[in-house]
Amino acid sequence: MSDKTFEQALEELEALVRDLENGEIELNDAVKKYNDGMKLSKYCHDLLKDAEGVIVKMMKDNKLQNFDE
Amino acid sequence: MDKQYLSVTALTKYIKYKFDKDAHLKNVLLKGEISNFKRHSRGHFYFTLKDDKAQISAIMFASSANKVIFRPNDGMSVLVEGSISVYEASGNYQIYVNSMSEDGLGNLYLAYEQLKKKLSEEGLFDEKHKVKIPRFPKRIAVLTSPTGAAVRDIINIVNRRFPLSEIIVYPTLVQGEYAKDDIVKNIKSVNQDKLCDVIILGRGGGSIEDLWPFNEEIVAYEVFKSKVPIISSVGHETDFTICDFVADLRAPTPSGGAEIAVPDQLELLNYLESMNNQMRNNLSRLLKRKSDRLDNLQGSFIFRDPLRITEQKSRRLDHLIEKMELLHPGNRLKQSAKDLELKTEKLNDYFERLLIKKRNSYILSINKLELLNPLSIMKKGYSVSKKDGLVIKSINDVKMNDNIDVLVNDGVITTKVITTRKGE
Repeated sequence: MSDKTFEQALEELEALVRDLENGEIELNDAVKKYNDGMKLSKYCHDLLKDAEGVIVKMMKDNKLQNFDE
Repeated sequence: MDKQYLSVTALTKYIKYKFDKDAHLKNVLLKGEISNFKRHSRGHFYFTLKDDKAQISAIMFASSANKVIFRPNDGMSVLVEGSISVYEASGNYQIYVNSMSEDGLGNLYLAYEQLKKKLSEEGLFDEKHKVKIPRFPKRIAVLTSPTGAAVRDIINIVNRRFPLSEIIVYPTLVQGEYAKDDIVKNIKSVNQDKLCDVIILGRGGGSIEDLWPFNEEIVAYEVFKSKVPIISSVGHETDFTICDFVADLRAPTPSGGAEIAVPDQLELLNYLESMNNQMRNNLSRLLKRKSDRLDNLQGSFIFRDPLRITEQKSRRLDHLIEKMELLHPGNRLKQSAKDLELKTEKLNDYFERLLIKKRNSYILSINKLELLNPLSIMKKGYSVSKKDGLVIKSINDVKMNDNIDVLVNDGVITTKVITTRKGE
C-alpha cells in the first residue's frame, strides 16, 4: 500500500464505503471490504500525521533549486 | 577700477543654490507633452516636456522610471511630479521627475473597462473554458515575487492545510513595466515543465498601477491558454483584475488562493473518521439483518409444531363425518365415507409433501447460515452431554455409574460416570 498516493488511497476507500452501502452484498465480501477500508483509512490518516511539512523549491534559470527564505 | 569677475562654475553654483532653496521648486506638479523621449541603456528616461509656449528638460532616473506602467512616447500628454534643479555641466535647469502618469482622467480604468468588454465578448471569461482544480494537488506552482509577503503566506497556509503537497516558486516580476512579459514567460514555463498541476498567480495589495500587469491583454491571453489551471490571487478582496476573470478560479488574496488550492487536513481527518463510522454501521446492520432472518425461520410455528396444521384439518374432517352420519344414514353414507377417506388421504398426502418442502427449504437456509449457527461449534470438537435427555450443566446432575449420552458432531457416545470432581 505504501506506494499509493493520498488521493489514490482515499478514492479506493470511498469506493469501498459505497460498496458497503449496498444491502445485497455477501457477508464474507462485506467483512473483507470492511477490513480493507479500515486499513486504507489508517494509511491516509498516517500519511497526513507523518507529513514533515511542505517541500518548497524554486525554478530559477530552468533549474530546480532550494527555496531559501 | 577693478571689477570682480565670477567664474562660470561659481555663478552656476549660485544659481543652483537659488533653485534648490526655493520651496516652490521642490515639489512641482507639472502637466505637459513629451518630446525628444530617450530611454537610456541604464533605464533612465530623458525627455522634454512642453506646451504650446514653453518647454523644460526632464530626467527620470531608473529607480523611478521602473515604476512607470505605460510606455512613454513623443506626443503623449503626461502628469509628472518632481523637483527643479540645475545641471551644472550644461547650465540647464531641468525637472527631476519622481513619478509620471498618463494625462486624462481615469485612463487606466477606461483601458480596464474596454479590455474587459473585449475579452468578455471573445468568450475568455466563459465557464465552459474553466479547468477544474485538482482535489489534491501534488505540486503547486507559485508565480509571484520570491521576496514578498505573498509567497510566505502561501507557503505557510499550504504547510498548515495539506503538507503532502509540494510548492515550486517561479520567481516572477509582479509590478512595473516588465512584469507582464515575465508573467507570460512563467505561465509558459509551468506548462512546459509539466511538474505542477495547479498555478497560484498573484501578489499582495497595491495601487491600480501596481496591479496593472494583471490587467494586461497578453497576460489575459496566456492565462486563458494555460492547460494547467490557474488560481488568480491578486491584491485585496476588493481588487478585481482582468486576470481574475480569465483565471479558472479567483481568490480574494494570495492566502485565499492557497486555501482554495489545497484541502484542509483537519477536515480530511474528520472525513476519514466519518467513513470509518459509516463502514462500521453498514457492517453491523448487515449482520443484524442476517441474524434476524435466522430467528424468523427458527420461530416459524411450522417448525415448532408441524403436526398442528394437519391436526386442525383432520379434526374438521372428523366433525364433517359426524355431521354427515347424522344426516345420511345408509348407503349414501358409506359412499360419502369412502369419498371422505379418499379426500383425507389426499389431504394427508398434500400436507406431508408441504411439510417436506418446508423442511427442505429450512435445511437449505440452515446450511447457508451455518457459520452463524451455534451448532456448528460442535464441528470444531465441542460436545454436549445429556442424561435422560436433559443437558448436564453441573456435576450434581449425575451420580456414579449413571449412563450419559455425549452428543458430538456426527453422533452420540454413551458412556458411564466413573467419578466427578469439583472445580478444575
